[in-house]
Amino acid sequence: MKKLFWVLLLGFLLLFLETLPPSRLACKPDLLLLLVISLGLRQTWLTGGTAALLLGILRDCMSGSELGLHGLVFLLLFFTVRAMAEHLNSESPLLLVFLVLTGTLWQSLLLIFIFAFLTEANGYWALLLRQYPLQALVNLAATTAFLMLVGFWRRGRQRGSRRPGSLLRGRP
Amino acid sequence: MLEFLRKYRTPLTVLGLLLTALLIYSANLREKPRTSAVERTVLTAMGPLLRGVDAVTGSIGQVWTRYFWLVETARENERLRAENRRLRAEFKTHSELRLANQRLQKLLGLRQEAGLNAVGARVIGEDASSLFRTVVIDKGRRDGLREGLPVIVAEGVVGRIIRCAEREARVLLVTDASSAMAVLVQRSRARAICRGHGNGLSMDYALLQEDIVPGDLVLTAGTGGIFPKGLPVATVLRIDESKYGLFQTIRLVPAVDFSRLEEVLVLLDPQP
Repeated sequence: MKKLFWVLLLGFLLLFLETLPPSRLACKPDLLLLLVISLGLRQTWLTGGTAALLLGILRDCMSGSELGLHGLVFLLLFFTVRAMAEHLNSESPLLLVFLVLTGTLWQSLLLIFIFAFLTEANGYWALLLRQYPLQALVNLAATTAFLMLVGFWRRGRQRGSRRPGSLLRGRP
Repeated sequence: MLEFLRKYRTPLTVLGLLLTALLIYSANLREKPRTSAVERTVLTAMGPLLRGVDAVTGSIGQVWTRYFWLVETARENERLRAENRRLRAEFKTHSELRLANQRLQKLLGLRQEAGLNAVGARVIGEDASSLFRTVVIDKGRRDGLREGLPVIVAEGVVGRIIRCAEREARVLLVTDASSAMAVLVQRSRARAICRGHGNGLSMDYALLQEDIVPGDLVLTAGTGGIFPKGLPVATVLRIDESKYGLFQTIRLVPAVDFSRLEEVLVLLDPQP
Protein backbone atom coordinates (compact mmCIF):
# COMPACT_ATOMS: atom_id res chain seq x y z
CA MET A 1 0.00 0.00 0.00
CA LYS A 2 2.83 2.33 0.97
CA LYS A 3 4.68 1.45 -2.23
CA LEU A 4 1.56 2.16 -4.25
CA PHE A 5 1.20 5.56 -2.60
CA TRP A 6 4.79 6.56 -3.46
CA VAL A 7 4.42 5.36 -7.04
CA LEU A 8 1.23 7.39 -7.43
CA LEU A 9 2.87 10.45 -5.90
CA LEU A 10 5.78 10.12 -8.32
CA GLY A 11 3.26 9.64 -11.13
CA PHE A 12 1.45 12.83 -10.10
CA LEU A 13 4.74 14.77 -10.18
CA LEU A 14 5.63 13.37 -13.61
CA LEU A 15 2.14 14.21 -14.85
CA PHE A 16 2.60 17.75 -13.56
CA LEU A 17 5.85 18.02 -15.54
CA GLU A 18 4.02 16.84 -18.64
CA THR A 19 1.27 19.46 -18.29
CA LEU A 20 3.51 22.48 -17.76
CA PRO A 21 2.44 25.62 -19.62
CA PRO A 22 2.25 25.52 -23.42
CA SER A 23 5.53 24.77 -25.08
CA ARG A 24 6.59 24.89 -28.71
CA LEU A 25 7.58 21.21 -28.61
CA ALA A 26 6.00 19.05 -31.30
CA CYS A 27 6.33 16.04 -29.02
CA LYS A 28 6.83 15.70 -25.29
CA PRO A 29 8.48 12.83 -23.39
CA ASP A 30 6.06 10.21 -22.12
CA LEU A 31 7.38 10.06 -18.56
CA LEU A 32 4.52 7.91 -17.24
CA LEU A 33 5.27 5.29 -19.90
CA LEU A 34 8.83 5.10 -18.57
CA LEU A 35 7.46 4.64 -15.05
CA VAL A 36 5.05 1.88 -16.12
CA ILE A 37 7.84 0.01 -17.92
CA SER A 38 10.05 0.30 -14.84
CA LEU A 39 7.18 -1.08 -12.74
CA GLY A 40 6.84 -3.98 -15.15
CA LEU A 41 10.49 -4.91 -14.56
CA ARG A 42 10.38 -4.76 -10.78
CA GLN A 43 6.90 -5.03 -9.30
CA THR A 44 4.50 -7.91 -8.65
CA TRP A 45 1.43 -8.51 -10.79
CA LEU A 46 -0.96 -7.11 -8.21
CA THR A 47 0.94 -4.05 -6.95
CA GLY A 48 2.39 -3.12 -10.35
CA GLY A 49 -0.88 -3.80 -12.17
CA THR A 50 -2.89 -1.67 -9.74
CA ALA A 51 -0.28 1.08 -9.96
CA ALA A 52 -0.30 0.97 -13.79
CA LEU A 53 -4.11 1.16 -13.88
CA LEU A 54 -4.19 4.09 -11.45
CA LEU A 55 -1.35 5.89 -13.27
CA GLY A 56 -3.31 5.56 -16.50
CA ILE A 57 -6.43 6.98 -14.87
CA LEU A 58 -4.31 9.81 -13.49
CA ARG A 59 -3.06 10.53 -17.02
CA ASP A 60 -6.63 10.48 -18.37
CA CYS A 61 -7.59 13.20 -15.89
CA MET A 62 -5.16 15.56 -17.64
CA SER A 63 -5.17 14.21 -21.17
CA GLY A 64 -7.76 13.55 -23.86
CA SER A 65 -11.44 13.20 -23.14
CA GLU A 66 -11.87 9.53 -22.24
CA LEU A 67 -11.36 8.46 -18.64
CA GLY A 68 -9.97 4.93 -18.48
CA LEU A 69 -8.31 4.92 -21.91
CA HIS A 70 -4.75 5.14 -20.62
CA GLY A 71 -5.75 3.04 -17.62
CA LEU A 72 -6.43 0.16 -19.99
CA VAL A 73 -3.40 0.87 -22.19
CA PHE A 74 -0.94 1.16 -19.28
CA LEU A 75 -2.34 -2.01 -17.70
CA LEU A 76 -1.86 -3.99 -20.93
CA LEU A 77 1.61 -2.50 -21.31
CA PHE A 78 2.49 -3.47 -17.74
CA PHE A 79 1.25 -7.04 -18.25
CA THR A 80 3.34 -7.36 -21.42
CA VAL A 81 6.54 -6.16 -19.73
CA ARG A 82 5.82 -8.17 -16.57
CA ALA A 83 5.31 -11.36 -18.59
CA MET A 84 8.72 -10.91 -20.21
CA ALA A 85 10.56 -9.56 -17.15
CA GLU A 86 11.45 -12.97 -15.69
CA HIS A 87 13.36 -13.90 -18.85
CA LEU A 88 15.29 -10.62 -19.05
CA ASN A 89 18.15 -8.99 -17.21
CA SER A 90 16.23 -6.19 -15.55
CA GLU A 91 19.44 -4.49 -14.34
CA SER A 92 20.68 -3.78 -17.87
CA PRO A 93 20.30 -0.12 -18.87
CA LEU A 94 20.16 -1.11 -22.52
CA LEU A 95 17.09 -3.22 -21.80
CA LEU A 96 15.22 -0.17 -20.52
CA VAL A 97 16.14 1.73 -23.69
CA PHE A 98 14.91 -1.16 -25.84
CA LEU A 99 11.73 -1.54 -23.82
CA VAL A 100 10.96 2.16 -24.06
CA LEU A 101 11.31 2.03 -27.85
CA THR A 102 9.12 -1.04 -28.21
CA GLY A 103 6.81 0.17 -25.44
CA THR A 104 6.13 3.39 -27.33
CA LEU A 105 5.22 1.38 -30.41
CA TRP A 106 3.10 -1.07 -28.41
CA GLN A 107 1.28 1.83 -26.72
CA SER A 108 0.55 3.40 -30.13
CA LEU A 109 -0.78 0.09 -31.48
CA LEU A 110 -2.97 -0.45 -28.42
CA LEU A 111 -4.37 3.07 -28.77
CA ILE A 112 -5.07 2.51 -32.47
CA PHE A 113 -6.84 -0.76 -31.64
CA ILE A 114 -8.96 0.83 -28.92
CA PHE A 115 -9.84 3.86 -31.06
CA ALA A 116 -10.74 1.61 -33.97
CA PHE A 117 -12.84 -0.95 -32.12
CA LEU A 118 -14.13 0.58 -28.92
CA THR A 119 -14.76 4.26 -29.69
CA GLU A 120 -16.00 6.45 -32.50
CA ALA A 121 -12.88 8.67 -32.55
CA ASN A 122 -11.18 7.37 -35.70
CA GLY A 123 -8.94 10.28 -36.60
CA TYR A 124 -6.17 9.44 -34.16
CA TRP A 125 -4.53 6.53 -35.96
CA ALA A 126 -2.90 8.69 -38.63
CA LEU A 127 -1.65 11.08 -35.98
CA LEU A 128 -0.25 8.21 -33.89
CA LEU A 129 1.59 6.66 -36.82
CA ARG A 130 2.93 10.02 -37.97
CA GLN A 131 4.11 10.90 -34.49
CA TYR A 132 5.69 7.55 -33.61
CA PRO A 133 9.29 8.17 -34.83
CA LEU A 134 9.53 11.54 -33.10
CA GLN A 135 7.79 10.27 -29.96
CA ALA A 136 10.14 7.28 -29.78
CA LEU A 137 13.14 9.58 -30.17
CA VAL A 138 11.93 11.96 -27.46
CA ASN A 139 11.18 9.05 -25.11
CA LEU A 140 14.63 7.66 -25.84
CA ALA A 141 16.20 10.99 -24.88
CA ALA A 142 14.16 11.04 -21.65
CA THR A 143 15.27 7.47 -20.84
CA THR A 144 18.92 8.35 -21.46
CA ALA A 145 18.59 11.36 -19.17
CA PHE A 146 16.92 9.16 -16.53
CA LEU A 147 19.67 6.52 -16.75
CA MET A 148 22.35 9.23 -16.46
CA LEU A 149 20.64 10.61 -13.35
CA VAL A 150 20.48 7.14 -11.82
CA GLY A 151 24.17 6.65 -12.67
CA PHE A 152 25.17 9.94 -10.97
CA TRP A 153 23.08 9.08 -7.93
CA ARG A 154 24.64 5.61 -7.61
CA ARG A 155 28.17 6.96 -8.01
CA GLY A 156 27.42 9.64 -5.41
CA ARG A 157 26.22 6.99 -2.97
CA GLN A 158 29.29 4.84 -3.56
CA ARG A 159 31.60 7.81 -2.97
CA GLY A 160 29.67 8.64 0.20
CA SER A 161 30.03 5.10 1.50
CA ARG A 162 33.82 5.13 0.96
CA ARG A 163 34.32 8.41 2.90
CA PRO A 164 35.86 7.87 6.41
CA GLY A 165 33.24 8.12 9.12
CA SER A 166 30.41 7.74 6.65
CA LEU A 167 27.32 6.04 8.02
CA LEU A 168 27.01 4.06 4.82
CA ARG A 169 30.54 2.68 5.16
CA GLY A 170 30.77 -1.06 5.03
CA ARG A 171 27.26 -1.51 3.70
CA PRO A 172 26.87 -3.38 0.43
CA MET B 1 -11.65 -22.48 -2.64
CA LEU B 2 -8.60 -20.97 -0.95
CA GLU B 3 -6.43 -23.51 -2.67
CA PHE B 4 -7.93 -22.55 -6.03
CA LEU B 5 -7.35 -18.84 -5.37
CA ARG B 6 -3.75 -19.50 -4.34
CA LYS B 7 -3.10 -21.69 -7.36
CA TYR B 8 -4.52 -19.26 -9.91
CA ARG B 9 -3.58 -16.05 -8.13
CA THR B 10 -1.73 -14.47 -11.06
CA PRO B 11 -4.30 -15.20 -13.79
CA LEU B 12 -7.09 -14.09 -11.46
CA THR B 13 -5.24 -10.83 -10.67
CA VAL B 14 -4.70 -10.17 -14.39
CA LEU B 15 -8.33 -10.93 -15.18
CA GLY B 16 -9.66 -8.85 -12.29
CA LEU B 17 -7.55 -5.80 -13.17
CA LEU B 18 -8.42 -6.07 -16.87
CA LEU B 19 -12.13 -6.28 -16.10
CA THR B 20 -11.85 -3.28 -13.78
CA ALA B 21 -10.06 -1.26 -16.47
CA LEU B 22 -12.65 -2.22 -19.10
CA LEU B 23 -15.53 -1.41 -16.76
CA ILE B 24 -14.11 2.02 -15.91
CA TYR B 25 -13.55 2.77 -19.58
CA SER B 26 -16.95 1.61 -20.80
CA ALA B 27 -18.76 3.36 -17.93
CA ASN B 28 -17.03 6.59 -18.85
CA LEU B 29 -17.85 6.22 -22.55
CA ARG B 30 -21.53 6.21 -21.63
CA GLU B 31 -21.23 9.31 -19.43
CA LYS B 32 -18.74 11.19 -21.57
CA PRO B 33 -19.83 14.82 -21.10
CA ARG B 34 -19.71 14.63 -17.30
CA THR B 35 -16.69 15.38 -15.13
CA SER B 36 -16.19 12.53 -12.64
CA ALA B 37 -15.13 13.04 -9.01
CA VAL B 38 -11.67 11.60 -9.77
CA GLU B 39 -11.11 14.02 -12.65
CA ARG B 40 -12.37 16.94 -10.56
CA THR B 41 -10.00 16.02 -7.71
CA VAL B 42 -6.92 15.65 -9.94
CA LEU B 43 -7.72 18.88 -11.82
CA THR B 44 -8.23 20.72 -8.52
CA ALA B 45 -4.95 19.35 -7.12
CA MET B 46 -3.06 20.23 -10.30
CA GLY B 47 -4.52 23.77 -10.56
CA PRO B 48 -2.50 25.50 -7.81
CA LEU B 49 0.73 23.87 -9.06
CA LEU B 50 0.12 25.06 -12.61
CA ARG B 51 -0.84 28.54 -11.39
CA GLY B 52 2.33 28.60 -9.28
CA VAL B 53 4.53 27.66 -12.23
CA ASP B 54 2.75 30.27 -14.35
CA ALA B 55 3.52 32.94 -11.75
CA VAL B 56 7.10 31.73 -11.15
CA THR B 57 8.00 31.61 -14.86
CA GLY B 58 6.73 35.19 -15.16
CA SER B 59 8.86 36.30 -12.18
CA ILE B 60 11.93 34.41 -13.41
CA GLY B 61 11.54 36.11 -16.77
CA GLN B 62 11.55 39.48 -15.03
CA VAL B 63 14.54 38.55 -12.84
CA TRP B 64 16.38 37.35 -15.92
CA THR B 65 15.82 40.55 -17.86
CA ARG B 66 16.41 42.92 -14.94
CA TYR B 67 18.90 41.35 -12.51
CA PHE B 68 21.18 39.10 -14.55
CA TRP B 69 21.38 41.58 -17.33
CA LEU B 70 22.45 44.28 -14.89
CA VAL B 71 25.10 41.99 -13.34
CA GLU B 72 26.60 41.42 -16.76
CA THR B 73 26.69 45.12 -17.52
CA ALA B 74 28.26 45.88 -14.12
CA ARG B 75 31.10 43.53 -15.08
CA GLU B 76 31.70 45.55 -18.19
CA ASN B 77 31.82 48.63 -16.00
CA GLU B 78 30.11 50.86 -18.49
CA ARG B 79 27.60 52.82 -16.56
CA LEU B 80 25.89 54.48 -19.44
CA ARG B 81 25.58 51.28 -21.36
CA ALA B 82 24.08 49.60 -18.33
CA GLU B 83 21.61 52.42 -17.94
CA ASN B 84 20.69 52.09 -21.58
CA ARG B 85 20.18 48.37 -21.22
CA ARG B 86 18.10 48.77 -18.08
CA LEU B 87 15.86 51.20 -19.91
CA ARG B 88 15.62 48.78 -22.79
CA ALA B 89 14.69 45.95 -20.43
CA GLU B 90 11.99 48.12 -18.92
CA PHE B 91 10.81 49.02 -22.37
CA LYS B 92 10.60 45.34 -23.19
CA THR B 93 8.58 44.72 -20.02
CA HIS B 94 6.30 47.60 -20.96
CA SER B 95 6.02 46.26 -24.49
CA GLU B 96 4.97 42.91 -23.05
CA LEU B 97 2.37 44.67 -20.90
CA ARG B 98 1.23 46.71 -23.90
CA LEU B 99 0.87 43.53 -25.98
CA ALA B 100 -1.07 41.80 -23.19
CA ASN B 101 -3.24 44.92 -22.94
CA GLN B 102 -3.86 44.86 -26.68
CA ARG B 103 -4.85 41.21 -26.58
CA LEU B 104 -7.20 41.74 -23.65
CA GLN B 105 -8.72 44.83 -25.28
CA LYS B 106 -9.30 42.80 -28.42
CA LEU B 107 -11.11 40.16 -26.36
CA LEU B 108 -13.10 42.81 -24.52
CA GLY B 109 -13.98 44.49 -27.80
CA LEU B 110 -15.20 41.22 -29.22
CA ARG B 111 -17.29 40.60 -26.12
CA GLN B 112 -18.86 44.06 -26.26
CA GLU B 113 -19.39 44.09 -30.03
CA ALA B 114 -21.16 40.77 -30.09
CA GLY B 115 -22.98 41.40 -26.83
CA LEU B 116 -21.70 38.10 -25.51
CA ASN B 117 -21.99 37.01 -21.93
CA ALA B 118 -18.48 35.69 -21.48
CA VAL B 119 -15.75 35.04 -18.93
CA GLY B 120 -12.08 35.69 -19.67
CA ALA B 121 -9.59 33.00 -18.64
CA ARG B 122 -5.86 32.33 -18.79
CA VAL B 123 -4.31 29.19 -20.25
CA ILE B 124 -2.23 27.62 -17.45
CA GLY B 125 -1.43 24.16 -18.77
CA GLU B 126 -1.62 21.85 -21.71
CA ASP B 127 -2.42 18.21 -22.40
CA ALA B 128 -0.22 15.63 -20.68
CA SER B 129 0.36 13.70 -23.91
CA SER B 130 1.41 14.66 -27.40
CA LEU B 131 -1.56 12.87 -28.93
CA PHE B 132 -4.48 14.95 -27.69
CA ARG B 133 -5.02 18.68 -28.02
CA THR B 134 -6.43 20.08 -24.79
CA VAL B 135 -5.49 22.99 -22.55
CA VAL B 136 -6.18 23.83 -18.90
CA ILE B 137 -7.70 27.24 -18.07
CA ASP B 138 -7.80 28.98 -14.69
CA LYS B 139 -11.59 29.34 -14.42
CA GLY B 140 -14.14 26.72 -13.38
CA ARG B 141 -17.58 26.08 -11.96
CA ARG B 142 -17.16 28.92 -9.45
CA ASP B 143 -17.07 31.33 -12.41
CA GLY B 144 -20.15 29.84 -14.04
CA LEU B 145 -18.36 27.44 -16.40
CA ARG B 146 -19.66 23.97 -17.24
CA GLU B 147 -18.99 21.18 -19.74
CA GLY B 148 -19.90 21.94 -23.34
CA LEU B 149 -19.43 25.72 -23.27
CA PRO B 150 -17.61 27.20 -26.30
CA VAL B 151 -14.22 28.86 -25.94
CA ILE B 152 -13.08 31.57 -28.35
CA VAL B 153 -10.47 34.30 -28.88
CA ALA B 154 -10.67 37.44 -31.00
CA GLU B 155 -9.27 35.55 -34.02
CA GLY B 156 -11.84 32.74 -33.89
CA VAL B 157 -12.96 29.47 -32.35
CA VAL B 158 -10.67 27.69 -29.85
CA GLY B 159 -12.71 24.71 -28.64
CA ARG B 160 -15.16 23.61 -25.97
CA ILE B 161 -14.98 22.73 -22.30
CA ILE B 162 -14.88 18.99 -21.67
CA ARG B 163 -14.01 18.80 -17.97
CA CYS B 164 -14.77 21.32 -15.28
CA ALA B 165 -13.57 21.54 -11.65
CA GLU B 166 -14.26 24.35 -9.15
CA ARG B 167 -11.46 26.66 -10.28
CA GLU B 168 -10.06 24.95 -13.38
CA ALA B 169 -11.42 23.57 -16.61
CA ARG B 170 -10.07 21.57 -19.55
CA VAL B 171 -10.76 22.70 -23.09
CA LEU B 172 -10.78 20.34 -26.09
CA LEU B 173 -9.25 22.31 -28.97
CA VAL B 174 -10.88 22.20 -32.39
CA THR B 175 -7.64 20.73 -33.74
CA ASP B 176 -8.00 17.54 -31.64
CA ALA B 177 -8.66 14.47 -33.78
CA SER B 178 -11.94 13.77 -31.94
CA SER B 179 -13.23 17.30 -32.54
CA ALA B 180 -15.84 18.02 -35.23
CA MET B 181 -18.26 20.89 -35.87
CA ALA B 182 -20.67 22.16 -38.51
CA VAL B 183 -19.23 24.99 -40.61
CA LEU B 184 -20.10 27.09 -43.64
CA VAL B 185 -18.05 28.96 -46.21
CA GLN B 186 -18.65 32.70 -45.86
CA ARG B 187 -18.64 33.54 -49.60
CA SER B 188 -20.67 30.67 -51.06
CA ARG B 189 -22.57 29.55 -47.92
CA ALA B 190 -21.53 25.94 -48.64
CA ARG B 191 -21.97 23.73 -45.60
CA ALA B 192 -19.64 21.00 -44.35
CA ILE B 193 -18.10 19.36 -41.29
CA CYS B 194 -14.80 20.63 -39.94
CA ARG B 195 -12.54 18.06 -38.25
CA GLY B 196 -9.32 18.34 -36.30
CA HIS B 197 -6.10 16.62 -37.37
CA GLY B 198 -3.75 17.32 -34.50
CA ASN B 199 -2.09 20.40 -35.90
CA GLY B 200 -4.51 21.44 -38.62
CA LEU B 201 -8.11 21.20 -39.73
CA SER B 202 -9.94 19.68 -42.65
CA MET B 203 -13.41 20.16 -44.09
CA ASP B 204 -15.31 16.99 -44.98
CA TYR B 205 -18.64 16.31 -46.68
CA ALA B 206 -18.57 19.42 -48.88
CA LEU B 207 -20.35 18.37 -52.09
CA LEU B 208 -18.27 18.35 -55.30
CA GLN B 209 -20.46 20.97 -56.96
CA GLU B 210 -20.04 23.44 -54.06
CA ASP B 211 -18.14 26.60 -54.97
CA ILE B 212 -15.12 26.68 -52.63
CA VAL B 213 -11.75 28.20 -53.49
CA PRO B 214 -8.47 28.63 -51.57
CA GLY B 215 -8.60 31.72 -49.37
CA ASP B 216 -12.30 31.38 -48.51
CA LEU B 217 -13.16 32.11 -44.90
CA VAL B 218 -14.85 29.27 -42.99
CA LEU B 219 -17.28 30.16 -40.19
CA THR B 220 -19.25 28.22 -37.60
CA ALA B 221 -22.67 27.19 -38.94
CA GLY B 222 -24.36 27.44 -35.53
CA THR B 223 -26.16 24.14 -35.99
CA GLY B 224 -24.23 21.93 -33.58
CA GLY B 225 -25.72 23.51 -30.47
CA ILE B 226 -22.32 24.54 -29.09
CA PHE B 227 -20.85 27.39 -31.12
CA PRO B 228 -22.83 30.50 -32.08
CA LYS B 229 -23.19 31.14 -35.80
CA GLY B 230 -20.62 33.22 -37.67
CA LEU B 231 -17.42 32.77 -35.64
CA PRO B 232 -14.26 32.46 -37.77
CA VAL B 233 -12.82 28.94 -37.79
CA ALA B 234 -10.24 28.79 -40.57
CA THR B 235 -9.25 29.74 -44.10
CA VAL B 236 -9.29 27.31 -47.04
CA LEU B 237 -5.74 26.26 -47.95
CA ARG B 238 -6.08 23.46 -50.52
CA ILE B 239 -8.85 21.46 -52.16
CA ASP B 240 -8.49 17.77 -53.04
CA GLU B 241 -11.24 16.90 -55.48
CA SER B 242 -11.92 13.22 -55.95
CA LYS B 243 -12.88 12.23 -59.50
CA TYR B 244 -15.29 9.52 -58.43
CA GLY B 245 -16.46 10.57 -54.97
CA LEU B 246 -19.36 12.76 -53.98
CA PHE B 247 -17.40 15.10 -51.77
CA GLN B 248 -14.30 17.26 -51.87
CA THR B 249 -11.76 17.16 -49.06
CA ILE B 250 -10.48 20.56 -48.06
CA ARG B 251 -7.42 21.41 -45.98
CA LEU B 252 -7.82 24.44 -43.73
CA VAL B 253 -5.51 26.81 -41.88
CA PRO B 254 -6.94 27.49 -38.40
CA ALA B 255 -7.80 31.11 -37.68
CA VAL B 256 -6.23 30.79 -34.24
CA ASP B 257 -2.53 30.19 -33.60
CA PHE B 258 -2.87 27.46 -30.95
CA SER B 259 0.82 27.52 -30.05
CA ARG B 260 0.41 31.07 -28.77
CA LEU B 261 -2.79 30.72 -26.82
CA GLU B 262 -2.65 32.82 -23.65
CA GLU B 263 -6.02 34.36 -22.83
CA VAL B 264 -9.40 33.05 -23.97
CA LEU B 265 -13.09 33.86 -23.61
CA VAL B 266 -15.62 31.28 -22.48
CA LEU B 267 -19.12 32.03 -23.77
CA LEU B 268 -21.60 31.50 -20.96
CA ASP B 269 -24.81 31.82 -22.97
CA PRO B 270 -23.99 30.80 -26.51
CA GLN B 271 -26.80 31.73 -28.89
CA PRO B 272 -26.72 29.32 -31.80
